[in-house]
Amino acid sequence: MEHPLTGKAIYLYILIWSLVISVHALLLHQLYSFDFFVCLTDAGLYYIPLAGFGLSLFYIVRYFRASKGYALNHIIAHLLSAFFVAVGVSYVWRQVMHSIYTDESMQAYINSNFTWHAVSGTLLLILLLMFYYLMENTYRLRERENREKSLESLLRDTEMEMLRFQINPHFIFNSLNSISALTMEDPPKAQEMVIRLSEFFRNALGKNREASHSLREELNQIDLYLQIEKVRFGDRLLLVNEIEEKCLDLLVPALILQPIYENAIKYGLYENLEPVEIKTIITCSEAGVTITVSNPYDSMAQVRKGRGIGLKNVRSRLELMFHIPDLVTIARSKDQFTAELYIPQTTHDQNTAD
Amino acid sequence: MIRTLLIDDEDLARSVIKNFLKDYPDVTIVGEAANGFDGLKQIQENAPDLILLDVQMPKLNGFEMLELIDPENRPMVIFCTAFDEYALRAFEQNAVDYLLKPFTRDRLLEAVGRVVQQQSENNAEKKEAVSKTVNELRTAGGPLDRIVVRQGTRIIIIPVDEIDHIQAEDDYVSIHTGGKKYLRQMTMKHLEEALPPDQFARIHRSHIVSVRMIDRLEAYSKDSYLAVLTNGEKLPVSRSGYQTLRGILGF
Repeated sequence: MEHPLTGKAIYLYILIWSLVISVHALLLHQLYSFDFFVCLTDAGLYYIPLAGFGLSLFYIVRYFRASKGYALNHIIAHLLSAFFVAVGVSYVWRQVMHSIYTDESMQAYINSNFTWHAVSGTLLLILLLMFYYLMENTYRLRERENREKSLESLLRDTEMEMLRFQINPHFIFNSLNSISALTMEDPPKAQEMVIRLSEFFRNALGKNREASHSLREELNQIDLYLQIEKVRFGDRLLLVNEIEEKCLDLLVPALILQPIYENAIKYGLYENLEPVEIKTIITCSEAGVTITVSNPYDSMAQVRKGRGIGLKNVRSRLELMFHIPDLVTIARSKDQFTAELYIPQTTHDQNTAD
Repeated sequence: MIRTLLIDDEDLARSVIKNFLKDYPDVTIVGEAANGFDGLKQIQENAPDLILLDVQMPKLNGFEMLELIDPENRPMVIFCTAFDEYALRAFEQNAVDYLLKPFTRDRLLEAVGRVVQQQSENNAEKKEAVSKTVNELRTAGGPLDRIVVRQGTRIIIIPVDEIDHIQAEDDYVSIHTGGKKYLRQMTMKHLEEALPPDQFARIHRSHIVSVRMIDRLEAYSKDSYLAVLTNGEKLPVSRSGYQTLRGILGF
């Protein structure tokens, strides 16, 4: 930490000491009715060196704060340093005053005031030390807060990145296998699939992708994914959509729906022998958009492994972005699985999400 | 001539193999199945020499399907999978043939070629390796969550949550669930290891019980107990079985 009394603060410091000097001088003038110039010399000769040493006391505070040890030792060390500085300055003051004012009455006055100066100087320096402590502590606190904040945002970024890219490797390799088959059977269709897959990955991997985009873009991305699965599974995959047109321009977190559809495909399509219908219903209001995705599933033959990781990711992502829990609700009937997402449309939250 | 059956739930995945094997003189494709059930049926009907088996399939995956085939009559297997770390490690360790999708024609022919060569030799060792791999893999991804059994032509999938208790019967085990009983060729030791350890306890040399079924324990003789199940059945509990129960139930 820098010395707190740098820049403009030093003027304030000088001002305060000047005030002390003036008050002291005025008091002397009142009490002893000395000449005002004498009073000012007296006060100035004492307080100006004290103020100077006072500045350097900060380094003592900083040194002890940085070192480990008992608080009591620190306090004693500080009190002693304040005391010695005050006594030292008082002593010098006495010597100088003696050399200036040589008449006996003044000499007596100076001697009687020596103790008084040492005590008041010590008290003033202790006040100063306390001020330094306060500054040091606020500084440390702020520093820690900043560090925690930046750590938090760093964590959040990594977490977001990890949550965003959770594409099932099965999907990748099986799609490539389908392409391998199509190159022999239906080359134009193979090409179409390669392009679709590229587009899908370009969007999914895009580094400078926005944290949020329109629902229209999100659904386009999902459509790429579903069309690829449709090539693999043909008529077994049926898609039914009920989407309100006006919702399409609303903002949603990028790729937030990907794990939802991956789940629907994994537990619906991959685990069923019959054709499978994946139904999407989207409605919205000013406040937010509700997206419901349902798929049939077999509660009996359900595999336990890995269930719920995708959904958990979606939930954490939404919570990190909007600071509202439970934006994802799950409904399970005997043969139907439904995931419902609510995505708020507060512009403020969208901004803080970036 | 190798009579080959393709089992994969994706049309395109089967068509790759058909295309690759079209001009290969040693192989003839005798059938195609789009799922494990159909695969099982065709294995019985066509008795192929070789199956090319997809691991990931709906309802009955490749490993579960293999479990239902008597090892004596089991055809040779080449596994096909897109991505499965557990499986790959097990295949490698046991030298079981497998193909990683997507694969080249050469890679497929190489695997088939190896099978042709083995067919002329004694391949008991190979079959053993496949059985071992399947056993390993059924539990590799965590405790068992379902058991498939065969009853006549029907295939029944039993979620482990519904099993009441299991009893050893020579080479078989009988799986009791809701008053019904199913036989399957399996060892108690394998089951004991594969079932979720917090739900099942081996209470006796020939008994595994689902702890949710236990109503109370009754002293039977100096060193043994009887477990009385909620449906009234009584099962013997050995001394070490009693200790196992204590560990799970915490009494």
